[in-house]
Amino acid sequence: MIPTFIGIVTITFFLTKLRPDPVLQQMLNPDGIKDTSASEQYIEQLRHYYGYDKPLYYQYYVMWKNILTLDFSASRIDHRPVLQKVKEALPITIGLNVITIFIVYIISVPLGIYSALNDNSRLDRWLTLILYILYSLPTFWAALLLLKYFSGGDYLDLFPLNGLTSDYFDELNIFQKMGDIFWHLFLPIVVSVYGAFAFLSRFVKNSFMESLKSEYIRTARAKGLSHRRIIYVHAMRNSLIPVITMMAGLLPGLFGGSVIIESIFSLPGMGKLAYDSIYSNDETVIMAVVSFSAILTLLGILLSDIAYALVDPRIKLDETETS
Amino acid sequence: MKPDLSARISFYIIGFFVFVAVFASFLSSPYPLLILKNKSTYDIPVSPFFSAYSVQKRIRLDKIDFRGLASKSEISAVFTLVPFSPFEQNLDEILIPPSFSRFGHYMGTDDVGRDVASRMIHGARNSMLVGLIAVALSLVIGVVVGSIAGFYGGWVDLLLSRFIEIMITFPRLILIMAVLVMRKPSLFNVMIVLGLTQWTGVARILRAEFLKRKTFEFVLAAKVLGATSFRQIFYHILPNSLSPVIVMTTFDVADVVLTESALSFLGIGIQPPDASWGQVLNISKSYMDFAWWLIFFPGLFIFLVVVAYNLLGDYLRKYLNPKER
Repeated sequence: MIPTFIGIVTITFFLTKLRPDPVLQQMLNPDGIKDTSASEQYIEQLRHYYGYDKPLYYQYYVMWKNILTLDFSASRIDHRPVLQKVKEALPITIGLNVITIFIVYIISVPLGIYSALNDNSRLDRWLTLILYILYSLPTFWAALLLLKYFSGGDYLDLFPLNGLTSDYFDELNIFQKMGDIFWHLFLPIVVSVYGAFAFLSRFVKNSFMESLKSEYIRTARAKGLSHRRIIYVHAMRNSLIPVITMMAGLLPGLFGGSVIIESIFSLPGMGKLAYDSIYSNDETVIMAVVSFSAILTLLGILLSDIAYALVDPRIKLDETETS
Repeated sequence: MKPDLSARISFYIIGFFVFVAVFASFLSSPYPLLILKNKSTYDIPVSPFFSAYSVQKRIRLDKIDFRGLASKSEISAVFTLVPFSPFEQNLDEILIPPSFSRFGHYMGTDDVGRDVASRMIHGARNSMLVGLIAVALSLVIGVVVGSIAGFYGGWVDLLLSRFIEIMITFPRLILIMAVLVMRKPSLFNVMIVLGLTQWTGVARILRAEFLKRKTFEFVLAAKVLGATSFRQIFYHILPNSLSPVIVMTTFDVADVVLTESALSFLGIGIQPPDASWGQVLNISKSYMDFAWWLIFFPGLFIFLVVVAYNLLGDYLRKYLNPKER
């Protein structure tokens, strides 16, 4: 877990260092001609201030010192404190992802179980086909189509076009505020959620069918337990174990997906922050964004490992190797 | 095993797009394939693949208005299916909806007057290219990393597994964006970057397969007969572990095509004037309310290609795994 984090931060460090100095880039206009009002001395002073003239290993050491004390200093582009930018953006992305995972699990697990129990029935085959189609729809296309047909004025005007809140947000009471945010988040959540249905329900179905073939189910049937009890008590517990660990696999994909979704729906979350900062080579913000998403992903993996250990009595609660 | 309906559909779709990709210049070109003059002699302009100079006549082909020429009585010409180039901008004809008329734009035009149908065709070529080369690169890297990690075990395996884990945990889109913005986005850079980030699936699967087969007797037999480690890996174990790798590679192609479209959609993939499906979708964002043809066609084609490769991967998984037949 920790070596992984070190590796991720190191890779990002080298990625940011491989591009030309953002200080110099601010001084030079896009044609590459030096702005004559910034003297050499001023540039040198700025570089010294930001620490760009120090050797690479020293910058690496300083970066680690900053990360470990959570001192991400200020954005190089608009000079706002990075932590503040992240603090504004993080709740949106986390909220979106948590709701997504929640909805995906609530819908996929029953679907998968139904699929497993009625394998190859007509409904199951139609369901698999529909889920397959949903899985292959590109998210940005679906988002554009939904925006075109369900918001704006031309067809149905059910949802707002962009942003997280309406213009009159401050004038609403607390319930209306929550409703407003939910209204704005509806389409992004739909887009974020549909792709994972097929994947997870297929997984649940396979896992369930595997556990239905095992010996202990046969024993339970021989004992004369009711069908209901066998399925919902015995088989479900054993087949849900890999399903829980699958959560760890979903998280990195969700962060990447949120870049696209937040950019289309103009939600000011981590994905949009990442995109903007990478575009303008805003080093400090890039480091912060990558560190935070790495931490969150690793936290998610840790949580699913713990859940796995709690759910499966065969696993002891030590550091488990995720391979 | 006889392919079922979904597998057959995927073969047809993939075959169609490969055909379109290979013959893109013959399907969508502003130059006619064949010109008949005086009904007896004919000139064939140099294939659009090659230079814009006609070998026989030493004239600049792109200065001749072939489409206007064809209406003259003594000259008739055979044009390609879509008689437009993906590059020619025509500011008189921006944002035209699709029409079936002669020399009409069958899928409309975009915001600088380029014909959308020809951009779809050349975009198919770019998508297939990216899929092929990026996945080939990722296959090579994945096979090397996975086989070495699985075969040697010990600290080599520990190190490589850690590296694989780092690559998996890193949000891929952010890594790709960072590298692309650094190295100037272009078709070539997109292929390389996608290849460098897609290999983890293959590496993991191959490592698992190697760990399983490392202790089998045929490997031991080869070793006893004097096979070097290299020979054992690549001549003995690897050929036996290939079926899940083939399946994973097929799914990787779908993933790569999707990611390339997403990158072009965000503006950091294939840049104009090169054509890409995601790029047309990016343009469509600004004209969403009336220009449905900019949204419908590229999205449809991305969807079809991704579905086809996913179906193919499913079929291969059933076909190559004797237990699931």
